[in-house]
Amino acid sequence: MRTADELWDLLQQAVRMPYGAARIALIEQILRQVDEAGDADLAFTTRLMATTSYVHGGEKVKSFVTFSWCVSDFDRNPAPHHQRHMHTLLWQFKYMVNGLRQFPEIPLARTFALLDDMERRYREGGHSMQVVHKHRYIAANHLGHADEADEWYARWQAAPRDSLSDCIGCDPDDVAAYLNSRGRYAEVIELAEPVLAGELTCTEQPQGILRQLTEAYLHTGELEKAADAHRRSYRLERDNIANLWDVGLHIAFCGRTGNEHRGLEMLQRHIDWLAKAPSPAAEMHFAADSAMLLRRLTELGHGDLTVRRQGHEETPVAALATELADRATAIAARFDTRNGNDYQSRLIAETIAAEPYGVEVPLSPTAGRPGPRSSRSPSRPPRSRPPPGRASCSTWPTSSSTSSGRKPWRPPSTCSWSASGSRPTRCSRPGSRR
Amino acid sequence: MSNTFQVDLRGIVDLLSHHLYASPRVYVRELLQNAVDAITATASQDGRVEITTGADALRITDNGIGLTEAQVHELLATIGRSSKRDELGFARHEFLGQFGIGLLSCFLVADEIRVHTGRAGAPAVLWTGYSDGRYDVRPGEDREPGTTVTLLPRRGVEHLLSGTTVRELAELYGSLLPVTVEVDGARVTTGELPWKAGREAYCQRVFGFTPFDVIELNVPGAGLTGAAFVLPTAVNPAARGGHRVYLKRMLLAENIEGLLPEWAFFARCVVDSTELRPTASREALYEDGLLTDVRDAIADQLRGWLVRLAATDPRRLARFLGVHHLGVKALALHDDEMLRLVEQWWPMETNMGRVTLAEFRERHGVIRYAATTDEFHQLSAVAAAQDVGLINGGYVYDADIIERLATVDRAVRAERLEPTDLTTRFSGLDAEAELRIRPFLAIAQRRLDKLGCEVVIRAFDPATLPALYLVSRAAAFHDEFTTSRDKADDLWGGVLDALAQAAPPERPQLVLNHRNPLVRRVLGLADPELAGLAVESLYGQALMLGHHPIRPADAALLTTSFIGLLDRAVPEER
Repeated sequence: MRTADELWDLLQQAVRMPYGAARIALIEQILRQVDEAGDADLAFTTRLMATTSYVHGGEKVKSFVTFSWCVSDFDRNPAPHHQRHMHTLLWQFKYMVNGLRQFPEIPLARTFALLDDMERRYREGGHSMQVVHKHRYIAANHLGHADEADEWYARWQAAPRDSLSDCIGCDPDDVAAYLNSRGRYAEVIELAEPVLAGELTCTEQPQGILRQLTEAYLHTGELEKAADAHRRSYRLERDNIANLWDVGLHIAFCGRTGNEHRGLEMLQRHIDWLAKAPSPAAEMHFAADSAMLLRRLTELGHGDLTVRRQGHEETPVAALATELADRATAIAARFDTRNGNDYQSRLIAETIAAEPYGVEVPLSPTAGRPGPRSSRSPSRPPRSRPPPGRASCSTWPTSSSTSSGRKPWRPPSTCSWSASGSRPTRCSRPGSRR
Repeated sequence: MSNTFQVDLRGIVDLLSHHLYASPRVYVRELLQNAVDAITATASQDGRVEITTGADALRITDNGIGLTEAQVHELLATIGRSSKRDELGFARHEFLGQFGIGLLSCFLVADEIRVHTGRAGAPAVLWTGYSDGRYDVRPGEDREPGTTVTLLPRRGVEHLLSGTTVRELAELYGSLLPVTVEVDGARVTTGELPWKAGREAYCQRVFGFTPFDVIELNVPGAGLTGAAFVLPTAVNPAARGGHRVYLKRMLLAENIEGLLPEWAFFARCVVDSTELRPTASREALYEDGLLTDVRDAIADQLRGWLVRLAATDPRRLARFLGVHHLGVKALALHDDEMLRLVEQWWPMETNMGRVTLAEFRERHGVIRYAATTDEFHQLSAVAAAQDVGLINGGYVYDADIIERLATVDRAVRAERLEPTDLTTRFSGLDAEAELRIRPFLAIAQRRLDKLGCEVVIRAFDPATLPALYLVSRAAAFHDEFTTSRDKADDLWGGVLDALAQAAPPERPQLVLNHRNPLVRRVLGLADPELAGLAVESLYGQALMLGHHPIRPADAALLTTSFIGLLDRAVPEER
C-alpha cells in the first residue's frame, strides 16, 4: 500500500513520461491504489491525467471510463479541487465527443447528448461556442452531411476563439482539412504556411498542419514541398500508436505518389499496431489506406512480396490487400448500421480504390528534382472528402505546468495555481518524444 | 497615383528591440556582418574591419565594396519592408536588405547613425539617420572604397559601446571570421577553426567539461564542419543543452537547440555552416528541410561513432551506456542499429540478476517482461520459482524497446507477462484429487464471489507460499470500470454499458498452492464455516503479500475473518 504522498509522486513521474504504453502502465498502477489513499483530490486528478494519457497513448476506449468518473465526481461531490481542474475537464469534453463517434457500438444519440451536455457546460462557464460548433461540424462530417457540415463550419469560423479553443496550430489544421476536402488547395497553403513559421507547442503539431500541406502541395504541383512536409510529419507521428489513423494517410501518400516501396516499408513497421488499434475508426482507416497500397503493389506485379505480422505466418501482399480491404469494409458497415446511411462504406470503398495522383514525388533527399510523370494534369480534385479526424488537440499544459512545483495539482499553498493558469495558449510537448 | 505608408522608425525600432532581438548586444554582430558581406563582395583576400571606441562615438570601418548613392537611398526603403519574420529571413539573401536590417539594430543603442561610404569610381556619400525616422543624404568626403559607420550612443546605454564591451562582443561573434577584425588596434580574430586542433582544451574552455570523446562532424551538403563533444556525466534528457553554431564563421548563438535530434542530449556541438539559414533575429536556425537533413546527417555520425565503439572498445561503450543509457534507449526506439546495441550491451533488471536482452533471449527464448516496477516485484519471485525469466520493463523506454525488438527481428518473441498467464506454468492436480476438493472450492468461491475474485487450485513453487493473488490488466481495469459505472449518470451509464457488451470482463484469481502444507490442511477442514474463514484469510494475506490495494470491501472481509478465526481459536467462556 502506498500513501497519498507516494502516489502524488508517482503521478508526477507519470505525467513527465512520453505518451505511450509505459505511461499508461504507470498511471494504471496508481489507479489501482488511488481510492484507498483517502485523498479525493488525488483520486480525481489521477483519473483526469489517465484520460489524457489514454487518448494520446492510443487506448481511447479506456478514456471514456475515467472521464465519466471525473464528470460524475464533479457533479455529485463538488469540492475545491474541482475548480482547479475545471478547465481541463471542459477541455476533455472535446476528446470525448471526438472519441465516441469512433466506436460504432456507441449509439449516435449518445454523442449528440454529449454535445448538448458540452454546450450546456460551456455556456454555464461563459465560454465561446467556437469549440462546440467545431465539434458539431466534425460530427456532421462523420455522418456525411455535407450541407450541415458547411453550416457548422461557418458558425465555428464566425465564433470568437477563447481559452478552450484548440490551439493556434490545431484550429488552422482543421480548417485546412476542410479546405482540402473542398479542393481549395491554394487557400490551405496560404493559411498553413504562416502557421508553420509560428511557435507551435501542441502535442499534435506541426505534424497535423504538415499533413494538410502535403495534400495541398500535391494538388498545386509543389512536389518537393509535398515530399518535405510528408517526411517531417511522418517522422513526428510514427512512434505513437495513437497516430495510427494518420500513419495510414502517410502510407496512402506513398502509395499514390510512386513511392510504393516506401509505403510498404511503413506498412511493415506499423502493421502490428492494427491488432491494438486505438479505435475502430482508426483501425478502419489504417486498414483501408494499407489495402490501397497493397492493391497498388499487386497491380505493379509485386503481389508475392510478403508482410510479417506477430502471431501470423508471412502474408503475401496480394492476400493481405484483400484481408485488410475486407476488414475496413466490415467496420464501415458497422458504422453505417449505426448511422443509418451508407456514407462510411462509400468513403472506405473510395479509399481502397484510390488511384495515384499522377505525379512522381521522389522522397529521398538526394533524389533529383521531381516533375510530373506524364502530360496528364498533375491532379484532379477529389470528390468532397471528409477531413480525417485528428486525435485531438492537446494544448492545455500538461508537462509545462508540472515542471515547476513538486505537486502541481495540489491545493495551492504558496503559489496560486488557478484555472486561469491552464490557459492553452502555450503548452509544451510532453516529454522527450518518442 | 500610388503612395507609400509613412513608417515610424521609432516604432519599428521598439518593435525590433522587444520582439526580434533578444538583446541590444546584437548590434555588434550586425555591424560585423555588414562589413564582412561588403568585403565578401570584393572577393578580396585582405579584408579588414577596424572598430574604434570612444566616449563620443563608435566607428567601424571596412575595406569592402562600399555603397553607391542609389543604394544608400534604398537603405531606408528596405528598413521595415516587412514585419513577417520569415520574410525578413529571406530578405537577408540580398546584400542591401541585410545592410538595412542590420543597420536598424544599431538604433537599439544609438540615436544617430552616420554611414560614410564610397565605391571605387563613384563619389562618396554620407548618410545620416536619426532614431526618430529622419535621414539625409549628401556628398561625403573622398575616401578609399569601403564604408565607415559611426554610432552616436543613446543616453543610458553607453556601456554597450564601451571599449571593453565591444571588444568582448566582437570576439564572441567574430573571432572566427575570415577577415581581420581589430578593436582599438587589437586583433580579435584568430583565423582558424579552433575545433580542428586542441579540441579537448576547446571543449573545456567553451563548454566547461572534459569530453568523454570527441566526434568530428562533417555535412558537405550544408557546408558544415564541427565537433560533437560527449558529456562525461549524466544529464537530464529534458534539459536540452544548446549548441554553439557559426554561420559562415560568424557566431549565430551559443545555445542553439534543435541542431541535434532529441535523443542526442549527451552531446554538445560546435559547428560552422555556410548553408544553414538563420531566423530573422539571427538568434536561431530557420527550421527548414535543410536543417532536417543536417540533423539526420549528424545523427548518422553520432550513431556511427557508437557502432564503432561497440565493435572496437566494448568496455568503453559500457561506460558510456552507464552514463547515457536513456539517450541511447530513446534512439533505439527509432533506429535499428541502436536497438541492437541496447540488446547486446545494456544489462536490464531481471528476476535473475542484470542481463542484456541478448543473453536473456539465449537463456529463456521468449523475452517476458513486466510493464511496471510494481508488477515486477509482485511476480518476480514466483516467476523465478517456475524458472520463468522476467524483465523489469518499468524503467523508461525498456518495455517499448523490448516490443520493438520483436517487430524488427522475427526471431524474437516478446510477451508482456500477464499475471494470470503464470498459472499456465503451475501444475494442475490430477482429476481425482481435484474432484475430492470440489466441495471445498465451491464454498471458497461463494465466499469470494462478492469480491469479484475467482478461486483456483494449482501446485507450484515455492511451497512456502500458500496463495497468490493474480490480476490481469483487463481485470484490474474492470475494477475501474465498475467504480465508474456505479457513479455514472444516465448519459455515461449508457456509453459504458455499450462498451461493456463489446468486451466481457475478466476476474482476478486467487490461486491456492496445493504444495503448501497449510493449504492442504485447510482443504481437509470438515467445518464449512471454518473453511470459509480460512479462505478469506488466505485471500487477505495474498493481497497484502502482493502489495495489492485493499479496497473497503477487502478490509471489511479481513476484519470479519480475523475475528471469526479468533473466535474459533479462543476457548468459550464457561
